Parts: sequence; C-alpha cells; structure tokens
Amino acid sequence: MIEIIKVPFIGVNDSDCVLVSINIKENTLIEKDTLIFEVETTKASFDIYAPFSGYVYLKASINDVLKVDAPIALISDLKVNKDDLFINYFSNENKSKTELGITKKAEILINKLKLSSSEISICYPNEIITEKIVKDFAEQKNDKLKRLGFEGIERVGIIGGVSGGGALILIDSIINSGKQIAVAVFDSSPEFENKKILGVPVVGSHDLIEEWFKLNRLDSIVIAFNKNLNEREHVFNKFNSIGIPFTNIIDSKCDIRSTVELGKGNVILGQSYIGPATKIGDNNFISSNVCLEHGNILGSHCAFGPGVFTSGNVQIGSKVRFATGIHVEPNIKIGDDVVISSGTTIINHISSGTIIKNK
Amino acid sequence: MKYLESIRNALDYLLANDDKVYIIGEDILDPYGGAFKATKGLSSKYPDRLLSSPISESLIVGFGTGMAIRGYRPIVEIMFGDFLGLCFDQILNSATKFPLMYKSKVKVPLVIRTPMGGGRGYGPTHSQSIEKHFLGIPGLNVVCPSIFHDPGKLLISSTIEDEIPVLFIENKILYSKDIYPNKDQLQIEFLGNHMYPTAIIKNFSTKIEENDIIIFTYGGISDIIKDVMIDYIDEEIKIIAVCPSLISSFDYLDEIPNITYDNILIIEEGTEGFNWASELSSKLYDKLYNKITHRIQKISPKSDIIPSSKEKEDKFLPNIIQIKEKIINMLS
Repeated sequence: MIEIIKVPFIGVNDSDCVLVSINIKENTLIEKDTLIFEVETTKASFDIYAPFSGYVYLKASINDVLKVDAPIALISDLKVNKDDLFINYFSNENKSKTELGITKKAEILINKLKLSSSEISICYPNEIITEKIVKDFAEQKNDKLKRLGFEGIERVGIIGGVSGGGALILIDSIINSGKQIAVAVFDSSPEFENKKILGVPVVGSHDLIEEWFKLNRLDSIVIAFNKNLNEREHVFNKFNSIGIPFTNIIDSKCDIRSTVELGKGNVILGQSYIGPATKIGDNNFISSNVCLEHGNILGSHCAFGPGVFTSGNVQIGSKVRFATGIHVEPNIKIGDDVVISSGTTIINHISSGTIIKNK
Repeated sequence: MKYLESIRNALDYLLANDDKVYIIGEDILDPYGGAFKATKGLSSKYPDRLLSSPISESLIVGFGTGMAIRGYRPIVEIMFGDFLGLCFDQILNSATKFPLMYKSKVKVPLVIRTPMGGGRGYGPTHSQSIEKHFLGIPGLNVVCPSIFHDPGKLLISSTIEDEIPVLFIENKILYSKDIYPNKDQLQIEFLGNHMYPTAIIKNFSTKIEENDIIIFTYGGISDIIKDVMIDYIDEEIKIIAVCPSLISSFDYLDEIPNITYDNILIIEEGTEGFNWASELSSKLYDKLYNKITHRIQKISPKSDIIPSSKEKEDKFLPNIIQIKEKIINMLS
C-alpha cells in the first residue's frame, strides 16, 4: 500500500503554506497517526499525521513553499527503493492512477483487504491492476495461506466477563471446539490487565478493539459479560455500527438441529440443545444445559442461566433474563425486558417489562 | 444543442403555436434580448408578445398572475433568481393560492423562469440557489432541468400542459453547455412523469444492481456529476445518478428500479439545512429503512454567503475535487 501525503486544505484565505517541521526519520518504520509534518500558513499551523503504519520517503524539504494538494512525501507499508518509487509516482504526477496502472476501485479494495499494491503489481507486471485482479489475488493468497496452515482459523476477541467468569467459560469452549482461537480479552478493570485466562491475555478496555481490528490482529469479537443486558446491547450496537464483525461461539458439545437460524454474537455453551426450525437473533448468552425446543423464536441480547427448558413454539423477545432451572410450556409468548427468577415454571404469556418472582 | 439554445427555441415554438403565450420581463427586448440572451431575436419576430417591464419583480409576477387568470399563458422572467425574494408574496399568497382557494373556477397557468446558481463570480447576491425557500409551497411546481434533460421540452410542458404555477429554474452555468446526448459514454433512461421526467444515468454496462454508489442531484451539479461519472468509468467505480426535473415532488422514488442502496450521496448547490437534500434524505430513510446499510451522505455549501472571489467561490460551492474525495471516502 502506497499513498502520497499531500498538503491538506488549509482554509479559504490561503492557497499555499510553508513546511516548517519534519518530525520523523526517512525510511524508518512509524506507527499510524504519528505526527509527521507541520505546515504553516499566514494565520495558523496544520499538523499532518501518518495515515497508516509504514515508511516515509520525503519529497519536500524544510521551508519549502507548497500549494494545497502538493505532495510532501510518500508512505509505503513496505520498505522500498526511494528512487524507483519516485520515478513511478512523481514523474507521472498529473496522471490518474489508472494511467499509473491501478484503478481507484482496486485501490479501495486493496486498502479494505489490507493487501499490498506493490506485491500485487509484482504478480501482474505490465497490467492495470483492476478490481478483479485484486479479488483474484486475495483469493489465491488466502488459499495458499490456508494450504500452508498459516490462516483459516478465526481469531476472536472476548469482551468483558472476567470477574463473572463469562470470559473463562467462553475461552474454554473455544479451546474445546478448536475451530476458533481466542486472542485477547478486552476488560477495563485495571486489576486484570496483563493477566491471562487459560493463556489468553487481558489487554485492556474494549476501546482497543477498533485499533486491533485495523491492525489485523483479530477477525471477530463476542461479548462475555451478561450481568447487565442493556450494557450488553449497547456494546453490541456500538461495534456492530462501525463494522466490527461479531462471531458465534458454539460449544462442540452442543446439539444444533435442522434449519436453525442463528444471528451473530451468540454464545451457546455445552450440552445445550437448539431444536429444529428455531430462530435466534443476535448477541444472546445461552449457558450450558439449555433447551430451546423446536420452532422457538428468540430475540436478541438475552441471557439464559443453566437448566432453562422451553417447549415447542415458544416466542421470546429481546433482553430477557432467565435465571436457572426454568421451564416454559408450549406456545408461550414472552415479551421484551423480562426477568424470570430461578425455579419458575411459565404457563402463561408474559408481557414486556415483567419481573417473575418464584414464590 | 446548447441548454440556452433549447430554451430559446422552446420560447419561439410556444410563441409561434399558441397566441395566448406572452413573455414579460426586464430588458428582454431586442437588441439586448435579456440578461442571459434567452429571448434574443424573439421580440423582433413577435413584437406584440414580449412585454418589457419596469424594474419591479413583484409587478412582473403579479401581472403574470393576472394574465394567467384571464386565460393567457404568460412566461415571466425574473432576471436573477436571487431577486425572487421580491416576488415571494405574489407567489405564495396569490399565484398559488387562487387555484387552491377557488378550485375549478380559477386557473393560474403561470411560468416564472429564472436563472440561479453560482460559478461566474457574480458575488453573494447574484449567485445563489434559493429554490429551497419555494419547495413545499402548496400548488407550486418547481422545475429545474439538468444537463441530461432537454430544458426546452420541459419549458413547453410547463407552459402548455401544466395548469398550476411553475417556478422554472435554469442554472446559469448550464446555459453555455451542450445537453448531454444519450448513448454517449453514459447510459440515460427517463422515468416517471412524462411532463417532468427523472433522468437515471449509469456509467457502467452491467446490471443496475451492481452500482457502488447512487448520487441524487439536480440542476447545475448534474454537469459536474457527468464529468465525475465519465472520469470514473476507467476507475471501475460504478455510479448511478438520479436527476429529477421536478424537484418539488419525490414521486419518482417509487419508479426507480430495484437497486442496491449501500451508498447514497445527495448533492445540492443551495446552502445546507432545511433544503431539498434534507427532505430527500428523510424520504429515503422512510422508504428504505431496513435496506440502507450506511448513513446517507450530503454535500451542500455551508450556511454562509457565496464569496465574490472566483477562486474562493469555486471552493465554497460543490466542486469536482470535493465530490470525488467524498465518493472515495464513502467507498473506502
């Protein structure tokens, strides 16, 4: 990935500026968002930051007067030969990237898939890099990595649940299933930082997730805490809205039957049974030994303690908390935001917002 | 054919074929032929049918309203759209109200033609696009032909087919431009209302569902979008542009083919807030609430005056660089 770092728009009063500060060393790896340059106009100074981690190659010098959009440097994710790079980019300054050999659509896809344009160009010399070429390259790369065993296993980030044990049982389930790998626990409690749960480090608050995802350090996330269902919903919506993918954690000892529809971000632990034609929404935490019989419809952001059994064709809304040892008769409808205490047998419909206490 | 030429030809056609058509405005007579030359040559050809008015925009619209009530088909010209403020009461409380208040007893087939828009360095009071202040007036059609429409045909529809008052907005920058021919690099289809069709433009040949982005715009911005779409053919960025001619209605939304709505961009030359883009955005959310995957984006100039400096005006108004950057950001 290579990008030209240009003078940004500096206000309606000025069309040019002076490069007053270069804060990095050329050809040395810098992190994304590092302050690299400062430019100054008649009225203000502007900071310019690295758009991604990589190596910067300077075109302009200190005290150069530069117009808006003028190139200051190039940044490349890989170390390259500066002379070759500059011949390629700056002897063709006024040409579109298509004339330089890559379409904008291809560039966008390269950035999204976190590929390297220089690597692709090497594989397709003398060709304009198109969207199709990038897709083919990505597919071949993935296939190769999978054949060598380098990739193919989903890397999961666990959110919260350290103090309540949710993180522990999730990681245990992941280890036992072998289809995913837990790479980090995101929990903001300072007492847990740098500790490990079954070998998985607690790295800090879930505010780190977006950066981890951009740096390609994880593939998906799942929420382990379920004490506060409103908070569970909030965290789910927060990351879902910015495109961080959620995954399902389904224990290898679960029994998921025919035509079950499953959303994302769900946890289903060992010895649980999900009957045929059941539909489950998103972000539900279903403990061990839970039975959702055939034709059940479950909303989102619910939590089930161990030993909850529903009969056929039960409908459950969203943000419903089931404690433990609960039985639900057939065809019952349970609304949203309901709490059902341990040991209860549900024989009537429950409207939204109800708290059922076991007498 | 040039946009202005089409308008002038339409005026000629109307005068030739309907003796109820009159044109009223400031400085419209030959040899001057109007501030933008839309009526050049017409007063020589039809000396009794072009009436030069005093400098009174309120009078121009009021006089036209009276003629329309009396069975004529007047086309009044307001020299710059910025001056419409002086006609607002005549439009709001007379021309559009009479047909609504008196139903079938009174018709007001009045056309108010006016140039709007910036890009010529004419300064804050001669460069505005203020149509947003007229959208939503009951009983008023607001028509604004894009570069893809034949403005002359739309003017003819407005004059002899439409029975209610029409505010006919011509973008100044488009006057000297050629109307974009169909079947050139871009594919154009016209949908909807036969009087005021909506242009649907594609810059790719594969299925319409394969678009990367849909851009809604009208009037002068259509010329910029045309250039963006042509530039982005080789860049593989598949764009659908939707350019309505009747901007006071959103009925065309029901006629658009079933397409992917992942990325929607609305661009308007008028200042941001309480405008066409906001209303369209609301209508799109209503129509597509469970289909939209990304936030609808808008480009409009900020709520400020248009600079007199041409260089600053170019940066203030929506421009090709800004639009291209927005598209790339949306797709990235």
